[in-house]
Amino acid sequence: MFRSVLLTILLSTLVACGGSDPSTPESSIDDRVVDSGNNDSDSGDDNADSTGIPMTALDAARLLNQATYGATLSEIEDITGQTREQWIDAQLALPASYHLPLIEPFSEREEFWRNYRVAAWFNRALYAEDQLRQRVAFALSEIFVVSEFNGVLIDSPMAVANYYDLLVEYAFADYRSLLEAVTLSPAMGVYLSMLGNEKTDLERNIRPDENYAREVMQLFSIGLVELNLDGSVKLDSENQPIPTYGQDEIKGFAHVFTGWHFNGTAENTWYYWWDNMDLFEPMSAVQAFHDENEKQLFPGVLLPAEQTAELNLEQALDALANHSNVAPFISKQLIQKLVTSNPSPDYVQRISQVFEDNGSGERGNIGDVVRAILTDEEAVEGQINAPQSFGKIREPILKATHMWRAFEMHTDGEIIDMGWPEYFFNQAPLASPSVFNFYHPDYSPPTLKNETGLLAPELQIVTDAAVTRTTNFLAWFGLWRAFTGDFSDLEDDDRQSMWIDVSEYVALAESSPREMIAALNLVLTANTLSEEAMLILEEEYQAMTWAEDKDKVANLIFLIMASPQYAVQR
Amino acid sequence: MKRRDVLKSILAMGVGATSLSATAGQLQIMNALSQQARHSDFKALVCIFLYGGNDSYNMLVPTEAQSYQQYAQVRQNLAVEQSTLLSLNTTTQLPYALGVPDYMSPVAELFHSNQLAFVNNVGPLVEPTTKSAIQSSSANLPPQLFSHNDQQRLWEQGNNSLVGTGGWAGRVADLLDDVNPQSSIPLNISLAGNNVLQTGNRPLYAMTAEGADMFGALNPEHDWNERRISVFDRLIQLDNHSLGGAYRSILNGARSKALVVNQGLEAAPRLTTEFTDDSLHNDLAMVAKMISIREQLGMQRQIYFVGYGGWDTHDQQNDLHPALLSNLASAMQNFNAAMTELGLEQQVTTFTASEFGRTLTSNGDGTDHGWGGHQMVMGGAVKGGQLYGQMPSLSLNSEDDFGEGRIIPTTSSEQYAATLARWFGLSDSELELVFPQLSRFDQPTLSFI
Repeated sequence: MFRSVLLTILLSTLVACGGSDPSTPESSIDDRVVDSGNNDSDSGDDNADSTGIPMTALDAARLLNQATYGATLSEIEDITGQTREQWIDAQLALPASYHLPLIEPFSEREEFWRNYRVAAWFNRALYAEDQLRQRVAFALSEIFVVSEFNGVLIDSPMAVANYYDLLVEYAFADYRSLLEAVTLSPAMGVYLSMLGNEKTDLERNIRPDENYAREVMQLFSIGLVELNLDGSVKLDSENQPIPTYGQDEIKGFAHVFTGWHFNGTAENTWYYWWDNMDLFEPMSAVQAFHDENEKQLFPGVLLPAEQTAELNLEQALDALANHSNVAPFISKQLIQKLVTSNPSPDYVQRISQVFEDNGSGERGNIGDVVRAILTDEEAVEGQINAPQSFGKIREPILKATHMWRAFEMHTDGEIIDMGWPEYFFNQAPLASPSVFNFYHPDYSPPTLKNETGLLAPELQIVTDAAVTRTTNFLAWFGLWRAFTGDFSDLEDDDRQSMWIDVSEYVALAESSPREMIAALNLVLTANTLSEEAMLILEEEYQAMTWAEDKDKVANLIFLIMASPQYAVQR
Repeated sequence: MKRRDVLKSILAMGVGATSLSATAGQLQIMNALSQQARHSDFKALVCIFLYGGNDSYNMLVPTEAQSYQQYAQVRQNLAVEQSTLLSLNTTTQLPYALGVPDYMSPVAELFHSNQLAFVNNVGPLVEPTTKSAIQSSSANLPPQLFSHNDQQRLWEQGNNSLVGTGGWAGRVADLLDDVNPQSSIPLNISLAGNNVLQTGNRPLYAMTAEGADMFGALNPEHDWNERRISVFDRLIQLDNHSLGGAYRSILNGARSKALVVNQGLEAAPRLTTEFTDDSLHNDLAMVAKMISIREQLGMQRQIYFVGYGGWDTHDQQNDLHPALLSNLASAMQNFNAAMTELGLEQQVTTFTASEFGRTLTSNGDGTDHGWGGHQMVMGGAVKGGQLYGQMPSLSLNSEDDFGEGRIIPTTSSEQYAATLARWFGLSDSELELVFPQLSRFDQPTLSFI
């Protein structure tokens, strides 16, 4: 349907990358030449501003892989010629697509379980217009972690989806509002046991629960040690890291987070939580269970006695949100989740500065932080300047969303039936084994760390078992589940599963297998495959004379998506 | 591994930096390494890591009137009922008699048949310390105490520093690299994915309770995959990105090991010991199966890592904790039976670890992060029926109490690990390399095995 435009794009891409290996020095120069030809900037020029330059198809493919659930040919077509900023601004302005409404229709079923929640997540990942918001919400879900693996939440996929929707809603909001929404969310309250947390009671010899106090500091706001704006660790005079808090601060915050329970709880119903159970509305405070003593938080932050639970919470969250660690701590993680595992300190610093002040005097505007991350020169040109280290290991589950977006997934099933994504990917939305997420932002396999010092956080979940199953996913749902033409031609039972439609690529291959391979290279790897790699694939395509075209195309899709070239988004 | 690599690896793990005198020891090891067939027997260590922090003060509980009352007064509504305690009969001299809750009866049985020992109040320490030293800020303490992932890391690293990436089992594997000369499977095998404990220079092998899956479309046993595999192998070489290289090595490692492990497991003898169908039981059943094919795998030394989560009982402790302990106890008993069935009870030692014990005090319906806690060691080689290390006072504000009943450890997790590593076959000088701070403790290794 859009073949003519497509061909133009592909031809320009082929010329643009000179068909050569982007990892060799010569081709880097090639790329740079082409880039500067396109955008009229010189990569040696410090003032080079990548924004305001119309994107080539390659630029578009790269942006879509950084900022959505995976590039597709049609979207590359659509946004080629726009600037990065234009696309981002359009995305920031889109209304949010929520997950809960997709699940609600099924909630009265007897067999109602997380399957429907996971299906809603895939649905939004594949089809939502607000891709950037969804993608950022996913990143936030791995920072502000709530997991369904909890005694209460395991039985309420709706509550878990509702928490996800909170992240969708606040994905571009200001950090302080997000932090408060997260803190008062009943799902978080249940997960990190702030819900029902009581003030000290000497008679019963109990003291406030420290769970939320500890994790909100360690994971959701400031981290363990003091940071410079560029994300590096501050050192004291003895070259030691400086802890951001100790047990005393934990106690102070633990006392703040007392007196909150399910919305509508009153003093006389505090212990009858099952009568008040509301997993959707924000928690509300019961002053009688709130600690009214003075609370020492950070040095210089003293909350006076006799304050209300609400006021104490406001002031405590202000203290966290205004801490100088927040900007680098959150900014760096968002960069790592979207663009590159090893951002330069300058990159982190530039983003932290936007976090601290977006130019309009606003602090912590996440939408502006995301825009800055995606339009930064390092996001735009990192693959040219640091071809061997820029980028990140794709999250395994995003391989599935990419495949199903790029090769339009079809199913006659009622939902996208992927009940246990962790079987294939070692991860699933809001289903981490603990509040520490599936992987740590500072993980690196020992050999990589020893030889290069580089981080590769996502590799923590790429184990022997997981890499096997992810590769098998690509075979079972790609290689062996490809169709062309009319979906209804498939057998009834088959149509209940998920299939990829490779018609578009088969059509391309009819005129030129090479063009089809170039299209795969663009959509899947943003032209990471070298000339030699493309030739190998072309040879393979031509050699399979006995096979149907759709299977020949699917074979190449599998070979590319299972490769290390594809594993690194760059 | 070449001698130079050994040296490099030891230095890279940040171990060699502790003292210059280690160099002589390193040379000795390198000499040892050049000899073939270091061990003729088989030994395996199995770590069950209780993720979240086991409230082990509800696992070993005072049984007698006065000491029980003291315990109950501190623990309030979280106290285990006195009438349900099973007394531990032991010749160990204790400050107060102890029992375990009746839902841990398999553990009591193992203890009384001398198959199991407790090690009391273990936790990360840089050096022995006291409350007064901590109060006067003169104590040298591990960093980031009471934080889950940091205290897990301290336990698993065994060197009480947050610098460096390796764990003690990883370093053991680096030292004993040629102990399994016939095998392509790493000494360190995990049923819980990547972990610090087993991180060394050679990657650990991470499998699942279902065994090792085959690569459907890249399985060389099927000739219809043949050409795809040869194309794939050519293709994946053409990337010189560092992260891509790391991915490729995981991928290729998994491809080759899946074949070996699968073939072995297909021929595994059927064990009559039955395991319940839950994640811990399934993991231990697979460990038993892997141990049963040690000869097919060509392995004389193995270290297994099993993770068991859910122990972070900040709330609902009275519902959650008994179920966890009960399941742990039955899984351990089954595993012990499986080892007996294989005739390997002397050669396989199982031990628990957990990042911290929990506060003696209650937050209403749960407990918070503590420091020292009790552990269990099981196997025929263990000097069972005994408790090792000091039992702390269970009264608040005692000399053992850091605050709110966070108990200051009296045995270092490093001593605990070193004892296991010595049994596994490390010499004294090797122990020093793997556990650089060990000499700070009067009794570097304990006598539980």
